[in-house]
Amino acid sequence: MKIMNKIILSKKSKDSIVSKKINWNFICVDLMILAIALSIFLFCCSLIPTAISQLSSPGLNSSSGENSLRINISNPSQIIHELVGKYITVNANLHYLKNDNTSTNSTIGGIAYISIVDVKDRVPVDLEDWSAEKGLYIPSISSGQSLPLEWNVRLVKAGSYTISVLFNENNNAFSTPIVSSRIDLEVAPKLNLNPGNVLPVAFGVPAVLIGIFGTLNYLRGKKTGVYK
Amino acid sequence: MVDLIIYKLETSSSFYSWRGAAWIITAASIFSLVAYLLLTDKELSLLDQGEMLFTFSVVILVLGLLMSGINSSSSISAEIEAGTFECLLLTPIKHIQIAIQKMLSTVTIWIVLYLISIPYIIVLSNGTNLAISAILYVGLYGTLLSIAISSISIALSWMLKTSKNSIMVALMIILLLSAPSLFFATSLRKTDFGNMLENINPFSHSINSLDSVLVDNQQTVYEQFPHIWPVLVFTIICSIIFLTFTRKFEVKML
Repeated sequence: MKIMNKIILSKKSKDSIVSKKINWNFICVDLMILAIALSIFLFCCSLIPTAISQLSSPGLNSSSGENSLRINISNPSQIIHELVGKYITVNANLHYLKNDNTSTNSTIGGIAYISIVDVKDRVPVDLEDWSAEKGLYIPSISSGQSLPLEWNVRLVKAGSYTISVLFNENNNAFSTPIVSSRIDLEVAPKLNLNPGNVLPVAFGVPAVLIGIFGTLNYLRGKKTGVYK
Repeated sequence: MVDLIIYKLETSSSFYSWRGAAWIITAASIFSLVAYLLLTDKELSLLDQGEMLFTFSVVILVLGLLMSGINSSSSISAEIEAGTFECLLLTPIKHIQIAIQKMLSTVTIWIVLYLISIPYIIVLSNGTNLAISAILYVGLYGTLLSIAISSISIALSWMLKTSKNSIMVALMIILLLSAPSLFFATSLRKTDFGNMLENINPFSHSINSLDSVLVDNQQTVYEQFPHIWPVLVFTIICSIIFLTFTRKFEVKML
């Protein structure tokens, strides 16, 4: 009986040891999961400021976090309809906004330029024939100052285009260009003149000249006896 | 009263026969082709009307210069080669008058060419205020350059005494004058060298002036005077060379 009791006691003690072992394993697993979750959380937290800075970058919302520069293009929501050969004026305003980070005497210089994209052909337009002055050099603009910019653009080819104005800062070579919102432009084809106007002249003048010189030649020939 | 017998003979040979008048028909056909292409070609018709008129005006000037140069550079040498120059010198006409009448006959060719081009200018400038300016400025520059080129070509014709050489040299002079405006790229024309060439070249001044009048709409004489006076000076210099070399034709040199 005693022996049986010992056996039972020894079995109970073994069970308790096993259960203790199992509890420790659960705790270890929990701790590991907690550590992983914590590291993921910390990683996410470290990414948020970067994401925010990316979202507030000048390339996305036309204003620089460091410089507080902004370009406003006139009539951004309007679609311009014009004929080929006509001139349009693109007006924009470059603002250097005052904020807490900028001192009152801080200035920025750079180049403002227009970009025209052919929407139909999906290519940027070579501005050789479109605008005499593609870029405007701005030596300096002070904080709180606003500078009007103007381009005269000649519409060379019919099609659908978007126009935007960009600004590249001089001092910071790695800064993203500041971009304005876009203007939509629809250029309709144009026939300068009715070709029918030119046809009578194009065919008529040589025909009249042939007639005049033919008659003169005949009269002269008749006088000299060539034609009897 | 100066007897214009040589002028009449020279002019009648240019207009009075089929062979003589062939150049007029050819020139009118060239004008017709250029005007028709400018107005109906898919891409050329997109040009601004001022640009069209400018292109056409350049064609008129170049054609006028070529015709003046070629016609006058063979005027004396052709007589020498044909053996008729001595007979011409025996006539009671002063040597300088012979040269001047030959020059006037060349300028008449230019005037006829210019008159033929007027209907085309009017059609191309339809609907703009450029017609009268285009006609007047093309007439002004064309006449001045035609006088200048004719003068220097007749002097060359007398000095070189062979038509082949004098025509070649005259063509080289016309090419030299027109090269900066017609053949040089815009980037080269903007360099110091290009600027210098454009400033001393009367043909470039004429082209730049027409560009300014027809494309930039700067039509007043006051605005164009910086371009007009170099062409005027060039014409005066060429006339002085002409008068110096054609004052006396020496028969013994033949």
